[in-house]
Amino acid sequence: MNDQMSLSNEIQTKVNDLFIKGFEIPSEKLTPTASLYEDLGLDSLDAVDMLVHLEETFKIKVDGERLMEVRTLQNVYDLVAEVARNAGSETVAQHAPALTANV
Amino acid sequence: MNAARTDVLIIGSGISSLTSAALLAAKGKKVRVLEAYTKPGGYMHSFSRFGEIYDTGAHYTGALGPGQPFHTILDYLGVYREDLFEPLADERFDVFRFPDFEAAFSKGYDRLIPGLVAEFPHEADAIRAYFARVQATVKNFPHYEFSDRSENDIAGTGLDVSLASVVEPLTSNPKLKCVLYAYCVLHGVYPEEAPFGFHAIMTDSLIRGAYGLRGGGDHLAKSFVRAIEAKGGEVLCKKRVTEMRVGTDRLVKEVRTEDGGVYTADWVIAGIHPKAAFRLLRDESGLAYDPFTPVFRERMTNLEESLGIFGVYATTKDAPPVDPHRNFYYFDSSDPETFFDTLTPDQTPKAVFLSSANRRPSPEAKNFAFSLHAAGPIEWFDDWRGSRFGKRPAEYAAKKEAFAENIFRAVERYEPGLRAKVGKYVSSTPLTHLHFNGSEDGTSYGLYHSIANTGARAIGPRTKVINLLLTGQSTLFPGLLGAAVSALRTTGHIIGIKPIIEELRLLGRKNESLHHGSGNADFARQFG
Ligand SMILES: Cc1cc2nc3c(=O)[nH]c(=O)nc-3n(C[C@H](O)[C@H](O)[C@H](O)COP(=O)(O)OP(=O)(O)OC[C@H]3O[C@@H](n4cnc5c(N)ncnc54)[C@H](O)[C@@H]3O)c2cc1C
Repeated sequence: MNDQMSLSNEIQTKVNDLFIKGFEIPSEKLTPTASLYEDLGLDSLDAVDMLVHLEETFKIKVDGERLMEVRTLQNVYDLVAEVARNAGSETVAQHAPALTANV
Repeated sequence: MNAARTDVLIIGSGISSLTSAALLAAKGKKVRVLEAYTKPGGYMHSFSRFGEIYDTGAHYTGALGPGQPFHTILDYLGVYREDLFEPLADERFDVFRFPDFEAAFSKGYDRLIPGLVAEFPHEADAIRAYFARVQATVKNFPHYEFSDRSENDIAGTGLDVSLASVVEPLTSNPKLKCVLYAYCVLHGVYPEEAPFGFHAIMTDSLIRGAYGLRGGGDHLAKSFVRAIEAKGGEVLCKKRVTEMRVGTDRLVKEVRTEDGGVYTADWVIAGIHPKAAFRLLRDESGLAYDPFTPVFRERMTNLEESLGIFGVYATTKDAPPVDPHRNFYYFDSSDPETFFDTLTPDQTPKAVFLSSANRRPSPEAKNFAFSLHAAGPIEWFDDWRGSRFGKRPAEYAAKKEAFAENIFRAVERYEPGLRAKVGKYVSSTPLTHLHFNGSEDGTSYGLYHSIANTGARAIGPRTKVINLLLTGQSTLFPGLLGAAVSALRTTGHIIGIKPIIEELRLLGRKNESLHHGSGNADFARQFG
């Protein structure tokens, strides 16, 4: 339980970090319900960069088509958590290349 | 003249740019191609030495049989001519030689599979399953199979999955793995990182219809130019683009060339490496323009480049020692973990590719023109990066010669006596490619086409600059076919792709039935 809590905290922190530093979005805008496209001003090209960055940061591999489902910041947290869980990733905190295919 | 506006300006004249131009022109757009070099074609261009014509990057290609995708695209554009191409051998067109065994691919799955099963009798199930997966996977690519099956553009199945992850569960036979991985040489990506989908398209295209170019890629480039000009387009050489000036509305306003030309258009397509394209961006006062987010900038900085290739172009004093309708892949090891390693510390090549420069020598030919290619990263030639082509020091020539001899030695193992027959040869390095093509780090295949850089994750075709699109091998996958197909995707953003895909599908069917019906390859041409 604690592990799960810390995992989801870590995911939130790192995802928010990406939005603050990587997309230069003010932290006060980063509410879980914020829409990536309407509220945070991302476009579809940014969404791809987000995907690639998340894969590298969390050492996960996300099916590209799942980007379509992602509308809000909470959706991003959930997607990362789900993929990390399924991959049995215990090393979420590590920085590592994203190329180890999870098939 | 310079000031005349066109609908679309296209930077570079590689096959992706020429395909874009021909397609847009055929659809009524006024197009202008700006090429830095003295002739069009990019890596498709050929050159002559010792009275022979050699190709730079068009040694062979696939899907060129009647009704097959590449054939259909070229025919649709009015570019296809039967005398441009030479079919490779039906039996064993690609021969893979390893220290302890040999295998080959033959044309068509009905020849290929029994051939491989004969080689690997205990692996019959794995072989059938692998090629069934290849065939099923390529059907998901609408720009290759011309179907409307995939709604999500090219990012369909097979691109998030690595080649190794498909092969590993099927077989533990190291030799068979080497054979199924052998085409990694053609894109330069390791099996663990190569998107299965693209490897499948390359494999499928070659198995279905492998052809060499007759008389060199220049003829194909010229055929493109004729088709473009026939539709009112222009292909201008010696026009190096130095700047794209972008307004505050994020639209390219002007494209400037080294010779002082200023060009305007509604759309700009850059058929060059994405990094090179972005370096050309300026604001309206000529200062560097950067519309990118920090995360994208970081991505571009970390982007890996593909393989640098070293080439040897030679003639023998003797009749051909190998069949000019076949290619030969010579491998140094049959360990699937390393057989394709590109960065051997002692700089001995792990894999050498031999192809004939003249696919149709006369039966009495007393000589044989061929090229050898092996990985040769630019780092090995770093010391001479600052030197100019034609003025490079003797040490560079000595290094090239030593490296060429390494390659000959690797081939001698399989073709004893070949070196002694070689009269003259010249060689090329990534620095040569940098000089003639301007490719990033002199690589042959553009950016490194790992899963992280392809499909849904690819750079381009769209960019943050609204009317700037990218095309070319870096945006999809390398090879003449990959670069040409990338142009379908790119131009689709301007003219809409669905009706074109439908027309391609119909034309492909028609050509196929004409071929089967008449028994010859002489097709009625619709466009051109
Ligand atoms: C050694 C080698 C062997 C290969 N073998 C094969 C093979 O056997 N089969 C196969 O299918 N593929 C092969 N390839 C790969 C294939 O050649 C390429 O994938 C394909 O030709 C790339 O096309 P492109 O349109 O993406 O770009 P390119 O062909 O790279 O064209 C880019 C063009 O842009 C021009 N340019 C660059 N900067 C500017 C500028 N600022 N202004 C104006 N113009 C500019 C360049 O001069 C060049 O003409 C090989 C490549 C190499 C190098």
